[in-house]
Amino acid sequence: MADDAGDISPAEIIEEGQELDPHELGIELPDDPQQAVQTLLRAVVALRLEAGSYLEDLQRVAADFDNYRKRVLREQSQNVERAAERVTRHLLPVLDSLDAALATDSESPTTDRVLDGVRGTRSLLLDILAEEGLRPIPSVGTPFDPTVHEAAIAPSDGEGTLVVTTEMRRGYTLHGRVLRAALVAVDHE
Amino acid sequence: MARAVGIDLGTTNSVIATLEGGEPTVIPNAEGQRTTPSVVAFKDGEVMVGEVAKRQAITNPDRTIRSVKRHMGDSNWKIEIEGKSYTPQEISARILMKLKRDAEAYLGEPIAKAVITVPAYFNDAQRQATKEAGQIAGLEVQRIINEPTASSLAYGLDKEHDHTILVFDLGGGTFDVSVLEIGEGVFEVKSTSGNTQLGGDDWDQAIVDWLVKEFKNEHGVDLSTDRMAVQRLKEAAEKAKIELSQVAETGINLPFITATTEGPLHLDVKLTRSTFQKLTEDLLAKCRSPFQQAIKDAGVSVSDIDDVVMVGGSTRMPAVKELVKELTGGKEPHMGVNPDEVVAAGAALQAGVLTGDVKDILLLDVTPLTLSIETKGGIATRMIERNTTIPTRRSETFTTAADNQPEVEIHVLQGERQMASANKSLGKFNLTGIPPAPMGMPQIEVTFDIDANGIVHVSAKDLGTGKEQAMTITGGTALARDDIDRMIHDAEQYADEDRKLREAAETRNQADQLAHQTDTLLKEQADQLTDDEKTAINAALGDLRSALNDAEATTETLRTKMDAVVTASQALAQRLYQQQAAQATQTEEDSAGPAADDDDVVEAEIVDEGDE
Repeated sequence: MADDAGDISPAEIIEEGQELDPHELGIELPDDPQQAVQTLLRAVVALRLEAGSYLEDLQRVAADFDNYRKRVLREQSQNVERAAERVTRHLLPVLDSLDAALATDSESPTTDRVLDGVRGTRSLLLDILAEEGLRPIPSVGTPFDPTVHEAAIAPSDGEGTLVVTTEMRRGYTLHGRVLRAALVAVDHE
Repeated sequence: MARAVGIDLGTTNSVIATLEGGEPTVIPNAEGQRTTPSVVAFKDGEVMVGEVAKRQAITNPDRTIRSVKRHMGDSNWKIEIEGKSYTPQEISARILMKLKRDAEAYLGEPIAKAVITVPAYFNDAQRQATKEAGQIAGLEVQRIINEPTASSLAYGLDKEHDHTILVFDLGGGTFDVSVLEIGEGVFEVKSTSGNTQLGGDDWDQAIVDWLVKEFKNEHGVDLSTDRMAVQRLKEAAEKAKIELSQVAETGINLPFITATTEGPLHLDVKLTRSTFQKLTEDLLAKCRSPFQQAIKDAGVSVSDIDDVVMVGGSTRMPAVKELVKELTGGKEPHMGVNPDEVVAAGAALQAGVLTGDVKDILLLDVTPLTLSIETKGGIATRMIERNTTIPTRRSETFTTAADNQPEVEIHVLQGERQMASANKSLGKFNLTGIPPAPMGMPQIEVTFDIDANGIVHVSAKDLGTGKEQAMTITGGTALARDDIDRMIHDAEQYADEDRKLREAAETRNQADQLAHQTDTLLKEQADQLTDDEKTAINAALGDLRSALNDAEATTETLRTKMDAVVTASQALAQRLYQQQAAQATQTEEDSAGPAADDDDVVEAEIVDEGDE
């Protein structure tokens, strides 16, 4: 906020009946009243033009910002789509391997080998997701920490530190941020 | 200057928003979420708020407080924690503190002032308590405003005069209907009604119950006693509910949901929208009577309602939308992309007005329709897209479409269609006195400038001679809402047809250009060609020209003829290319300077006056 009128606030200046001293305002006026009026009128016109051009600049900057904002929003949603495309492409081998598992002849005694394959597929998936920044949240045996653990079962009374006793569903962080808290049962140590 | 924010301090969730460039923007919390659960917990002198407090709730039930909003203003309500007694405003302040702290971290600047919303039915004591909560949190509460008022502000309804507005707010856990009247920029709440125990969570629960029942019927296993299964069912139910807002049927697939002695069991069912709507009929019916009560208490009739505003994530459900439409006699409601953020957005706008961030002179308009100019082949080449905020300016350089073309016509169009003739003509002028030059050489800079009042200035300048012509169009943007809607609708309806027409015109332009280039090549490189080659190229070129002269020739025909010309002149092109490459190496060695780049000339060409 510009405060160049010294100690006088705009409201005070505009206020009716207030006597303004040109010297206090830092304005030089000719002694002849007629000339003084002309000087002031000229100044008013100049200031009007100046204010108009400032307003126009301001409106243009505001509109530019608004159009920029619209473009950024559009680009953001495109980026999200592109990011999804990359992750999805990396996941396709998992799908291939599951398809292969299902293509095995259900009549033949290969359950163990199919299970082996499912295990392999799982570790393939974990590797891909780890590359994306996914980490499992340690739970069983660690102290209960609500920033990463969600308690589903807890003792109704008792004292002492709460520790995780059972992991009901694993939690994960993505780039250090909680993607899903681990669903756990807790008890006193 | 410290920033002002708007806060929707909700029963189950809270949202904080601020103005960025005059637009309300929701600020995500430290966990990256746009809403923060209104849950506070105390543990060993530590205070937890939001998702974290929710996760530990079961381990610490006596010191975890949910829905404190329901106790606001109740001077008898106190909670004793670790030897200290807390009032509802002190608990609420903890939520506000987290919102403030996270928002400050996100924005990188302090937050001092806030507008906080409350339900319209809150009494003075409840409002006072909310204000105190803000003060305890270190906020200067500029104003406490009603939630339905905030929602109406978010849709700009404060500009209306003597309007009756109905706000239908179905959130996660509460349901409110309010009737407001706006006169001279002031909102007055005429009536409120609702159900404090009805919300989107009930719709989720209906799906969970159905899944449990279906599974029990099929497998004889009760999933409701299995905590992990219930957790998965809840998440799947919410997902299904959201999907059914878009599609008529969705699959709920939860492999290995449980295990018996006989092995694993999987849940895989289809849920159709109609089944879902049958399951939740009773919930929907509960919305009816508060609606009718609110209308009755306001002393208005349904036909008096000018605007309907939808708030809360649950209003996304098609059945809810239909119900509101039915109850309001078919009125199209105001509904944004994020109905659960509307209240906070409106509060942020109010905060902006009170802080002076929102100035009338900066309430800028947008262009209702696209502005284009006609280029060769009758194509509408877009200069300023629809919904661009004004004032704005854009320049693009065009060229001529024929050799020695003395003038170009600038034909200004308005509308969304791809072809010039389907759009509305706003005016045309000619830029004359272009010195004789081969087609594609002159550079004509066309500038569109729309000022804050919607007045369009179009100018065309020959960059070679500096000669300029201009035109001003007033009132071009002042179209009736119906006309704008019709033009946008037409563009969507004829999108396919228009695309084909445009493709045809573009192909024709390319064919024309190819014929011209081949002609030049034949003249300039006559000595490089064998007689056989000349005959072949001339024959193909003749074919292309007759196709071009035939207005009925299809895009496919033109493409085939173009291919023939390219094939016939391939040998020549290759020879020339090799020679040029050799020359280029030579030149590079000689001058070692940068080659003169072609100027950035846009391919489209201004329609030639003579073509018409």
